[in-house]
Amino acid sequence: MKYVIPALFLATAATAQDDGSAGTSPDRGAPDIFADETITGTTGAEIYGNVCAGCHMPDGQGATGAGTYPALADNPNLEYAAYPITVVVGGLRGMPPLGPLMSDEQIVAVVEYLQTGLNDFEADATAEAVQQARPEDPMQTTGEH
Amino acid sequence: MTDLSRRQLLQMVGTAAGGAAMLHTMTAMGHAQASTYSGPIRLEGAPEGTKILVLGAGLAGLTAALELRAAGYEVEVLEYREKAGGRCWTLHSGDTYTELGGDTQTVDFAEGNYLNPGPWRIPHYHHAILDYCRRLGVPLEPFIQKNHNSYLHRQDAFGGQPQRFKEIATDHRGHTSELLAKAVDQGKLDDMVSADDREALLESLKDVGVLNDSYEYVESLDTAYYRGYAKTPGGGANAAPEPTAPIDLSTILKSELWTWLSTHETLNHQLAMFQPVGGMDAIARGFEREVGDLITYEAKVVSLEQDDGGVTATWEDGAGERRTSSADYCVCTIPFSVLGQIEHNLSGELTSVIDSMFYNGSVKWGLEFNRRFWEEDEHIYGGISYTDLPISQISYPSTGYLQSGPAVLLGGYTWRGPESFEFNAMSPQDRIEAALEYGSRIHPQYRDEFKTGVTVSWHKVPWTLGCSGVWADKERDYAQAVQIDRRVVCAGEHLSYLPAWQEGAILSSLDAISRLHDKILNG
Repeated sequence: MKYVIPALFLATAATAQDDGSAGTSPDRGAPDIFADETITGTTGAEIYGNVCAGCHMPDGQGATGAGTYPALADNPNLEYAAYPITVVVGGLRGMPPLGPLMSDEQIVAVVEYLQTGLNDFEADATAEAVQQARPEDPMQTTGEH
Repeated sequence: MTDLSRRQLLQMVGTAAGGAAMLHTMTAMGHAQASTYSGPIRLEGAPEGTKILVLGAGLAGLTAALELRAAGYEVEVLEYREKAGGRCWTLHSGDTYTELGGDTQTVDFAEGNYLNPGPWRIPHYHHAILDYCRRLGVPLEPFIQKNHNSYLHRQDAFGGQPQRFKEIATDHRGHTSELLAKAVDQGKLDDMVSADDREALLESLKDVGVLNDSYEYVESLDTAYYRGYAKTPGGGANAAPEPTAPIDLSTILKSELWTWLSTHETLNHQLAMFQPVGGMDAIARGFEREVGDLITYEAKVVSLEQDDGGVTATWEDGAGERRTSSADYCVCTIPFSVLGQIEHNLSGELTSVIDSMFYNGSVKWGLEFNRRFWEEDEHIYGGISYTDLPISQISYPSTGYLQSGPAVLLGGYTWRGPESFEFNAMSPQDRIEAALEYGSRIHPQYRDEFKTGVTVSWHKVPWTLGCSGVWADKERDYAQAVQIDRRVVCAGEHLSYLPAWQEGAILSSLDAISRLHDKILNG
């Protein structure tokens, strides 16, 4: 399913990204954030900006209210990809599992961005590791309230 | 139609019969539900001086506070926000709301206009919340869930032109009735329909489907009486009505607009539905009038510890000072998305449920327009239009009909799915811009008439981090999670079989405090 977004909207959407590399600037042939029926984005920075930044914030600093979304920048838990892959695929505490909405390649890309874009670690995510982390029957419910 | 295979026909019949069967089953469940809430609980005989600490002043916490004090307990309530209600929340004109990340929106609606960012409608079979509305003097008005004149819209159907619900619904029903009636009439279903039932079935299909004497669903004043006229009946000269041609079955099927026909028929969406006059938070204000004196606001709970002697919560007040509250028992209604981050010594079993429950994303928009173009131009009075655009739906106000001046419609409501995440990652301004762009494809008047808007993405709500709890394995964990954990019992929508409904929060709370009271009295 493709949604056609006029330039005006793309221009304002681009301002949402603190990181110019996040990939929604119109002159780079910006992908429409709703272009896919799953999460939209190819590069790690795009995917991070389209999804993760909503809670963990564009700069990866996290946010705190009654509870906290942990900072992903300068986060030692991200040194090895196994942990963030598990969290992205399966969720953690209040965080929903994103595995059903993202391809193996997207998860590899976004974990690499966490490791190298928001931290100074070496990227070590692989599609095989993502496959191993995926549950056999990802749960989905869609009730309306 | 004649080139449909037998399998396709049976699938279609199955769809129709399945819908009816489901409706019957759900109605039966409704009768069962009616006994779940059998009127106000009356807890009596609280031991002198026994104190219960209630964490959270949403509907579960407020219910607990009201009923436990009535039972004779000393009650203290701690609430993170500056007011009661939790997700029973309304953004009124003049309110400000700051989401996580720091973006602040000031609601610039005209006086009296509002958005319910969370719960927005009350089913007629949610007996508990209706009874609390009755007891608390909260006036209700009808919520228009189903409107035959609202739209169904898919981008790749009918050239992207929205279709009226009544046309799709009437034509779908007519065509499927015709197929079924012809199959019965031709004896093709004799192995499934007894001779006794045959004539009654044919008669009912003819009646329900608006078929002619040949069991055909065709253009006629009879079918126009349901799906709408080309020229509506008038008075005086030249007043005779003219019919419209039904949309053919294949087009209806391929359009997939039928996917929304049963939406209004679930037990949770059947009419009558209600909304509190002036906003959902009228319920919160009603509770607050009763138990507001028990609540400490702007109290952020940072730890919850229990031992043989009692329960102690440590919390930060509005100035960041650490304080403690102690009690004999605790009713904890803090969402598990937040409770999982609070230091506590709950049992390992309960902890594992808390830590494995994730929270839904959901996004809503309130868009205010200078005039009610949906009423004035399109004759849509309340109800919901559904679309496959990312905004998912547009709901028209169920109040204030025919008035001039600005009015607010629900410019979108997403529920889980990738769109909820993607909207969540946008600034409020961009979210509103997106809702205007998508909505204008259904209502071209949007751009000319837009006045102001407000949007709430539930993953960005500081006090819940999400919309409602989702179980990792409900069947496995539910019974464990609702148990009283020594001196603490948890309650809320997440601990119910009506998740994300206010009824679930109240029923969960009533059950939790009833068992807690029993344990206190009887060990």
